[in-house]
Amino acid sequence: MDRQTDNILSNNKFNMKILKYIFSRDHKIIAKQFLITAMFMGFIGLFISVLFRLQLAYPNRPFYIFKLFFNKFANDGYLDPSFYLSLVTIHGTIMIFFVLTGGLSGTFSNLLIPLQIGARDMASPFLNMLSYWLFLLSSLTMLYSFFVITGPASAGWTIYPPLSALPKAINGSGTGQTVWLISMSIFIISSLIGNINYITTIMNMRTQGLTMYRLPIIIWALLLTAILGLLSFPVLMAAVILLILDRGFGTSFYLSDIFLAGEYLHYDGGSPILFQHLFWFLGHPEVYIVILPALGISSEILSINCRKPLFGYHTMIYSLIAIAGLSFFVWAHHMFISGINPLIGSVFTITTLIIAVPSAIKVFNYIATIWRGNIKFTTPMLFTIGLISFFITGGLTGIYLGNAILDINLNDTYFVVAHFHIVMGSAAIFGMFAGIYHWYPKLFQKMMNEKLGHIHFWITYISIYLIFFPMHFMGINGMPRRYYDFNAFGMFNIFINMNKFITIISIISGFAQLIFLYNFTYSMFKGKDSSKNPWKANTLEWTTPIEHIHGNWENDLPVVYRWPYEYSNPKYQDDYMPQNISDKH
Amino acid sequence: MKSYNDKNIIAVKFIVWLFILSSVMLFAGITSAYIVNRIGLLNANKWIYIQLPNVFICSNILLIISSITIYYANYLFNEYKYLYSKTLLIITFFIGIFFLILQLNGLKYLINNNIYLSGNVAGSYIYNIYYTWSTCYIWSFRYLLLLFFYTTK
Ligand code: HEM
Ligand SMILES: [Cu+2]
Repeated sequence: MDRQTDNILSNNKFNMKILKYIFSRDHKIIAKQFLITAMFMGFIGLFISVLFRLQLAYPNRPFYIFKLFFNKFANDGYLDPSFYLSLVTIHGTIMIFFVLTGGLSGTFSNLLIPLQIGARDMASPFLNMLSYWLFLLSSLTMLYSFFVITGPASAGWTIYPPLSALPKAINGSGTGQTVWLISMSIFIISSLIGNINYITTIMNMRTQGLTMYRLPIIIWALLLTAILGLLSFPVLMAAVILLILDRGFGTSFYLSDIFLAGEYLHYDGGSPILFQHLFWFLGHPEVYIVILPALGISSEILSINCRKPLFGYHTMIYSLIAIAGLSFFVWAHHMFISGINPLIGSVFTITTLIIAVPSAIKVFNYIATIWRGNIKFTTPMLFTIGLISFFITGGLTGIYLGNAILDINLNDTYFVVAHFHIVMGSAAIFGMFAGIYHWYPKLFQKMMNEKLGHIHFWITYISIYLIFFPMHFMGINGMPRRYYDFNAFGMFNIFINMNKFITIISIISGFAQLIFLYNFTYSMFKGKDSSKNPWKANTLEWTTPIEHIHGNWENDLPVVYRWPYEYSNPKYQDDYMPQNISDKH
Repeated sequence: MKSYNDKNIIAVKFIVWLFILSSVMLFAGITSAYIVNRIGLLNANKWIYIQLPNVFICSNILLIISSITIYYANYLFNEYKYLYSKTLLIITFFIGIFFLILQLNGLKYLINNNIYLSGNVAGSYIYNIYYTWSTCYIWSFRYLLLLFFYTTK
């Protein structure tokens, strides 16, 4: 063969390899695709938040950066008030749906389910690939709304009508809202397909010996997450269908007795409260869809890095089940001031307080696992400890908010912003970071740099408390969320400097994420090579060859003999005992 | 011990059940919206009672019968009784056509009585169910054709 054909051939091979990478049905590659897409979206969401923090800190000052990115929405560098709302909306939507739902459960379900249950791939690799491509399509559609003339949707991530139902209400209610709804419909289909696949795989494809009570907690968490999504996302779809009919086809499901710019509209008979019910029936389970995978990840990492069996394995499973089940009965705690019957309010106060019990059990189990452990302060472990800290701080304020009487005052203030950014935003993001640092060797065959990881952790951890803790006090003082300019109200003058402080810290923590990005990309090429089982863990994913192969295991599938948390058992020579090694030898 | 492939076949069936579960939740969402909305409007004396024409009852009965016929068509197909299976499929097909005619009649009734999608919400819900039905209808035809294709092969 002469050189030229040889070149062409190898070139072709290269192309084939790229194509294979892009249209892969291999769950490990799909996991990487989810992760990288979510990270991309995450950085956009982070950048947006820094922009609107600038506006909050310096409301009357023009910024070149606004003009640079959003020329038509930032006249002479002054941010358009209605565009401020768009930024808040898209930030929330991206973070909650695209990063913490699609990204978190998408990445780790895909990576871990087949590897930890001893399967060669997902039950349906094709549906799995479809799920990713729809996820990407919906992400891009959401971003496209920045190129719409009237700007992106601006009714908040909760898209309450009438703002979202009347295309002429405000700028963002027009095409931007339509694009949002299209994107979300695609997202719902993507997540349904994914969830169906995850549940099916866990229920049907477990390897020999791997009973439900030998599954790692993370698999339980991912299973329950998928079940929550399967049952709640269709209800959001129903809400979206009715909303689309209201917007485009003249129905009045959510609208009644409305004037727009002095003109009486013909809508009659609907109720915006109906939308809130439908939305929060998804919305509350959604917050657990976000946190459960993070809690699952932390269970694994804690046990491995404390070299101790996970405390209360069974109670851990039961509290996960309890959280998942109860999460369908608390939704109206988001609606205490919507004029619902006070009796209903009390019922939902009670269910809300009950759900705090299994959450607290989990925290106790975590602390008991750490107690007298032989703790290894690796980066994933630090992020896990951070997660537990946030889950406690943020969970406690949830109990305040769950009381209807208190919530009537605190609803729609910065207190709520503090609550959910600590308990969901930060805790779940920390779960994601912990998971990335921990399973990076599985994803890319390399280790991430520990020193950079530690720096990343400390800056981020301290910043988060500096940013969100003061918000509790702002909220108690009545500062409402989603406002464009607080200097317009004399009573909030005491917080002028606090607002500047928060903005400066958020810029610093934003830059700290670049350390992570650098570590992530640099390690991919130049990182230390990973060994087969770098953390000395028991679960099955560390029994596969280091180089990824299709089908995961070379020969037979591993057989499981015990639960995954056999650490420091004096019966064995090592301080760990992988699930697939029989006692007999 | 089940082989890996057996497991996969069971899994694919499981997928279908989960799809059904998620569509049930979609309808549950719409139905509960209907219930909540209706209670609210009844209290405000704004709900409009719509007397549904009897054709809708007939078409509902047809719907149930066709489910039974197609179920047995599938059952007989698995028993290798292709001829019976095909006859049942043809019956199902005609029931489907008849269903369509009845539904269109129902639609005509609604329009003649000034009930439109964008009128009172009570009417909107009827249309809502109507549209979702139609989508399922088109989907099921696809399934029917598929089965028909297999029996003739
Ligand atoms: C200990 C358990 C928890 C309780 C009792 C609780 C309670 C509440 C209540 C009552 C509200 C409504 C506040 C209002 O709008 O006035 C709320 C808001 C919120 N919670 Fe929690 N929560 C808990 C845990 C969580 C967790 C684990 C997450 C997420 C991972 C979460 C995410 C959110 C979010 C995102 C909101 C704000 C939604 C919005 O209005 O935009 N919460 N929580
Ligand atoms: Cu909630």
